[in-house]
Amino acid sequence: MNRNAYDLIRFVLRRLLQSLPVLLGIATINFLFVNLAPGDAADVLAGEAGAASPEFMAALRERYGLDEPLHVQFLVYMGKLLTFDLGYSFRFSRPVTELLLGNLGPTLLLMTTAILFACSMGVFLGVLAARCVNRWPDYLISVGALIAYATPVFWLGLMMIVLFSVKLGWLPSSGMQSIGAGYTGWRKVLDVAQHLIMPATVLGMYLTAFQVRLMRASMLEIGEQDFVTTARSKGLSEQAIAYRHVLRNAILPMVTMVGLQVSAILGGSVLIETVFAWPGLGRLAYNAVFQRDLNLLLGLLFLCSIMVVVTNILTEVVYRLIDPRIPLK
Amino acid sequence: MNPVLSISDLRARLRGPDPHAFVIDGLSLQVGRGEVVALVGESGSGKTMTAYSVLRLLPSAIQLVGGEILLGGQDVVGMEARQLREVRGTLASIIFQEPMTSLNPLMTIERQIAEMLLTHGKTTRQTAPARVIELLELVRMPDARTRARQYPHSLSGGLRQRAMIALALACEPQILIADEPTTALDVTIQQQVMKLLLDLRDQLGMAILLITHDLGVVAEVADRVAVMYAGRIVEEGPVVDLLEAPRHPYTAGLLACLPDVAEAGGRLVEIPGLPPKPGSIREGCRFAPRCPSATDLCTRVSPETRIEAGRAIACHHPRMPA
Ligand SMILES: Nc1ncnc2c1ncn2[C@@H]1O[C@H](COP(=O)(O)OP(=O)(O)O)[C@@H](O)[C@H]1O
Ligand code: SF4
Ligand SMILES: [Mg+2]
Repeated sequence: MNRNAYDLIRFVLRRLLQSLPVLLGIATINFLFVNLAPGDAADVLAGEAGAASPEFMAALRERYGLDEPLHVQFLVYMGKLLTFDLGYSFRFSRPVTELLLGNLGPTLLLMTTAILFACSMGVFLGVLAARCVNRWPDYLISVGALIAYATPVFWLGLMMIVLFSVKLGWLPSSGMQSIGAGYTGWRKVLDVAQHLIMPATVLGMYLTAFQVRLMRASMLEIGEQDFVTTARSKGLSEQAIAYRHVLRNAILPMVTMVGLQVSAILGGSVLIETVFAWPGLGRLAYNAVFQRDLNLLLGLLFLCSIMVVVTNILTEVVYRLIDPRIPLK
Repeated sequence: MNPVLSISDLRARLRGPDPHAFVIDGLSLQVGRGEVVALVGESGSGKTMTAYSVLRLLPSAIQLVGGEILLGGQDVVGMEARQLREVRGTLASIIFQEPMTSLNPLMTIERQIAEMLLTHGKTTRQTAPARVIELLELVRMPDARTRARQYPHSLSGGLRQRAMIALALACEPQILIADEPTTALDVTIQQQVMKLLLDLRDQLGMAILLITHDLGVVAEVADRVAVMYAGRIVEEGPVVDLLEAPRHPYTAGLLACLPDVAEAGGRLVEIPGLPPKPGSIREGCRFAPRCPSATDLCTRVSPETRIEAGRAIACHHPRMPA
């Protein structure tokens, strides 16, 4: 046990260390974005501040070190990154880091819920479909997954708002909490959960469809393997075979898929958070793009790359916890 | 004495449009208590499917369509699912050809064996680990305590096959079906595993249906031999008798390919031509296209099985006894 925990921590640390070059690479690209675009950051800043006299520009350049040679600027930029100083957002009049951290929580909540929803539905429906293969529950689930797969996400979001908020009045249509209600404790948790249902469902819909189909195929494939015949020859019930032997093996591709799809989910959250006015990174990104808030956008990019890297390490850890064949190395 | 396994006129076919695509085509075979019967034949003749039929483990693509299988006197073919589960592992169990894939990669050896013991109520959760070690020691697993807690991937092929044997013997079955248990192993390991199986037979007294390619092994270990071709038993008899004086042309062909039958490790080399695909020959003897003694009659009429002097032969023109 202790030995395993120790291995696990070492593995995570090593993988984090290995991802540093990737993150530095992304930071470098970010830096080049700013500096290779026509004009320099002072032009952008001046434009954002709404004033552009030559004296003001010169003052800005000096204040932000923009008159220094490029490599010096690069080192300064990297130094700031290491202390998570991502510059200032003039649109929001707040430091970028503060903005990002304020919006990170809601996005993490939304994404985690969507991914957990997708995976649990994937297991539940995928296993059901595989166990009833070529009978009506299977057809129903497969067709359902196909439809969910092909439905445009924004349309689904709007339709759900029309149905559940406008027509039925069951669920709130926007935001993360009821404004001014001042709920605390469990009442607050319930309130957030109610706000969470629709955006998380819509965000997870595509991944759910994907996971259901993957799980079904994976269950059927594993079900044909030799060790399943062994399990059957031992006198186990079909139930025990499906859940104890097939399911655990069949779940592995699903774990890999979460790692691969996390960037798609991040992208999807821009849309979903905008539709549902969810106060997260996605909506921040939407604003940053439309208001040309360059510092904020670059900060978002950097944070997202960290999130993707971390999720990939997490899925690797989960994979290795399930599969003893791949050592924690 | 009642045979522990008695198969009569068994038929199984590939699911699909062709109703004649028989993989097992009227096969009859008996194994007495404590007896070692070898089932030999070229690859694709239906040996594995015969083994699977006994515990109704056929893959979904293949369907049992007729015949009777009595296991310890109980009819397996018409058995209900619940009773079938009780029989699996307790009356008969199977060791598969491929030790690398026949154990669940995500479960420790101990859990896989304990699971079976618990399913059949042969042990409790408290006593299971000790019983598993006992079984692993029975199959001479080196360092059984450590191995029990390992996953299959950290065991060599030979050790995995030992684990499979421990699993198969866990509920003390009356018959062990071993489907080419040593084919996938190194030559030295092959001999160890085969010796282990025989020692266990002497120790525990179960019957063994040994499916094999290795005629050298057959001569050494089996009491009786059944030769299988295209889903049927073509010749069957006591081992020494049959190997010394084969009467079916197919058996003779198999033996002629051996440099020296008595020499251990003599392997089965194929006779010119290939065994027919299921359903490709509907009339006459299935072996006729490859048979040196085939006549007009052979291509028209399928030979019945006749029993002469303790030998069963399905051939119109058997070779004369020496
Ligand atoms: N899973 C399967 N699906 C369809 N056909 C199969 C399957 N397994 C075996 N067969 C067919 O059944 C026949 C007998 O195969 P098998 O019993 O494995 O032969 P053997 O064990 O003697 O080599 C072969 O023609 C083979 O192609
Ligand atoms: S029946 Fe005819 S073809 Fe078949 S094995 Fe005998 S002699 Fe050969
Ligand atoms: Mg085989």
